[in-house]
Amino acid sequence: MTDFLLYKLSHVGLDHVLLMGALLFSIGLYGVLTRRNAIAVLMAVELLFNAVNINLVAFSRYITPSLMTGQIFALFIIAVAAAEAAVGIALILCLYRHRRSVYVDEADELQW
Amino acid sequence: MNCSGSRPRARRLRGEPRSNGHVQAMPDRGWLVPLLPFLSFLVIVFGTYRQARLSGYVSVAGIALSAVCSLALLGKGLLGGVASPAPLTWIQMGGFELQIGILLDPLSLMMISVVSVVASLIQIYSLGYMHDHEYSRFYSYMSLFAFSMLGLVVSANFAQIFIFWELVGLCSFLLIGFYYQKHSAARAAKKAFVVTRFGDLGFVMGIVSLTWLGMKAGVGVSDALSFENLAQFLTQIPADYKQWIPWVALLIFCGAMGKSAQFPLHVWLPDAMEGPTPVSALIHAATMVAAGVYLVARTYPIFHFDPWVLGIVAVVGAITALVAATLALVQTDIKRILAYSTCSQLGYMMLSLGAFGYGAGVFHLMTHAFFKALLFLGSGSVIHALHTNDIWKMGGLYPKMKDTSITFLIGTLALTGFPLLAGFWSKDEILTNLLHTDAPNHMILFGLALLVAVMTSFYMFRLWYLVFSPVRQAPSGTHESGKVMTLPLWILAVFSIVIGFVGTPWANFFGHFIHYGEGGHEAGFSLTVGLLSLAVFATGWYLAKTFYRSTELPYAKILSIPGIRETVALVSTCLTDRFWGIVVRGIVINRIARAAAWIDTNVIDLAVNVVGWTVKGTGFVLRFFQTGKVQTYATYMLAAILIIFFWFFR
Repeated sequence: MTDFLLYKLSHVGLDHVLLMGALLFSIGLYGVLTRRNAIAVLMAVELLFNAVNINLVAFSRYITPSLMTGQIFALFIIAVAAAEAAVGIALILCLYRHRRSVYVDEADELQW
Repeated sequence: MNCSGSRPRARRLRGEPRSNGHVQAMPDRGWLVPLLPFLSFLVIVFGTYRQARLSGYVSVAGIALSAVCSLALLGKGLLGGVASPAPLTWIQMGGFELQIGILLDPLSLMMISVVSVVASLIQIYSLGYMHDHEYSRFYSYMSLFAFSMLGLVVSANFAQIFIFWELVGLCSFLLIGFYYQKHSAARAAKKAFVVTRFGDLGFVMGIVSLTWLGMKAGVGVSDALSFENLAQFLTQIPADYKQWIPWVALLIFCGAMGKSAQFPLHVWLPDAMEGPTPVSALIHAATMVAAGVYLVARTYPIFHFDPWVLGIVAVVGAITALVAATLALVQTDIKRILAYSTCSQLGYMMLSLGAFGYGAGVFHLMTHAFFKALLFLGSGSVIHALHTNDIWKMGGLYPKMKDTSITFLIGTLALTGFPLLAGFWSKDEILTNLLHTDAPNHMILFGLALLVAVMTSFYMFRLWYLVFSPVRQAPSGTHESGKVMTLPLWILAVFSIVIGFVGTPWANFFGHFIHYGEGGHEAGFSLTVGLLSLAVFATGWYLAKTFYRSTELPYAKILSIPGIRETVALVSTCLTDRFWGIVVRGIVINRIARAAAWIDTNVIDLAVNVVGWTVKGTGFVLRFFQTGKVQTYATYMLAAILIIFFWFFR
């Protein structure tokens, strides 16, 4: 048991990286669901993206190191995330001009 | 509606010329006959509606061309035989298939010729009768009617005939209510529509039952409903289900009763006289009301299957003939007399069909179409001149309106069976057949038919003496109608004289052309019947002459005997609307309609309301989940994804 723990602590493997991805994803999700400021929500979304990226790269590195598919995929996601961030920030800017506020919980007119 | 089949189309596709001309191609053009009036209907509605005169000419041209086609087809049918084009598939859903086709056999060839010729003459007459501003509406309805009626006649199966059946009903409704500003006309139109609907309910139930029998016999819907192999289909029905065939026949007969104004559904026909007189002549005398008789003749195998159904047809026909003739004796409205007369003659045809007199009934249908159209058009000419329908306000018209009077007299003689005129031959054939048939109670039916003939002769001569006889004084300023009206009268008069000669007992050309089964059932000549018929004609004529040819009218004296007037009034009301008043108000409205209304509010509406309330309640609860906050929705999504995830990977 001790040996196993020591081994796990000294050798960084796939499960460590996946654990970190999961933590990162959870933090991002928490941010998306709780932050009132729209910019903070956008930043939390970036965390979600990066959690996914870490997973992809980790799987690629540890399971099919020769193929590089995970890495390529991650690069694509980074590019798309940049575009998404640009659109998101533009929307937030519009929201701010319109309402003089970036708090998402205040923009709740679209209901019954 | 292109029913030309595949052969000619293929020929045209290959670019070959239409080989050796018209005659060869004619059988495949049967669909032209109903289609031409439909085209003129479309042209009037979408094109010439603003040009009244032009609309009239378009309509007349359409129906006249249609008549030419019909006569060409008839000629070809007489010479050799006309091939019906192959039917087309109209609706196909799985095993359910409905076809649409053109059935050209001697019966339908005769009918399309009669319908289109009479319709052409009546439409020409209407050019003079109708006012200019009414033309477009009138002629569009008339064209639509001609299309529907011709389509009905050439229909190849029950489903198709039912559609046209309803179409002619619609046209009848529109044309009875032509003067819709008049309250009575609107009411009459409604009445005609509703009363015939009673019969049509039976008809549609009969058609559905027939498909059910087809299912039991393992025959497809299109084959079960086809007219051509109806007789063959009936033999394929399993023995356990054969007992249902007479009931199906009775249901179909219900439709015929409604359309042909048979007792007790005859009450709509007299009221239908609210329409313009040419309409009465065409629809409510010559063609549409004969559709019921035509239907029975067309589906004769199903009636012939069990003689007791034919017995019912005969009895209903006899009752109608008698009741309507009785009512015609005392009418004062010229058109109503003719309407009851029509009703009575239709009963005569039904009576003949019911007593195995297929050829005689159909022959009478044809001759009646001509002379009754003539009589109606003649009465129209009188009404056009005098602006009244009341025969007591007419009189002595002969010197002023010679053409109308003479042609009307010819029509009267034809109807009452004066020797050598059209009605003489057909009526005698019916009577001879009744005398010699082996139908049950044929002697009673024969007696009734003779009685009806006496009454027919009486009321027609009553009409002639009161309206035309120079004994009475004509209203001043009366003048003959224009040529456009008298010419059709004369043509119809010629038809009324000569058309009977196609079916004389010695050379029954008609009977050889149109017969049921092997034929050879034509009655032949019977001197007894000939003499009886002549005696009957003379009796009615003599009675009418004694009563009405003088100015003081002894008839009034009879009515002044205590009790007579009351009895007549009681009997006549019992036989007409009073009867239906009791039935409809007492049973249909108070019992059935109220029960139906209760079920409607308390069961059907409740079910509908429960659905509504459920939706409303669910919505009320669910609306609280719609907060408008984007993060709430994201939470729902997360929850949903988790639930799905655990559900799949538990």
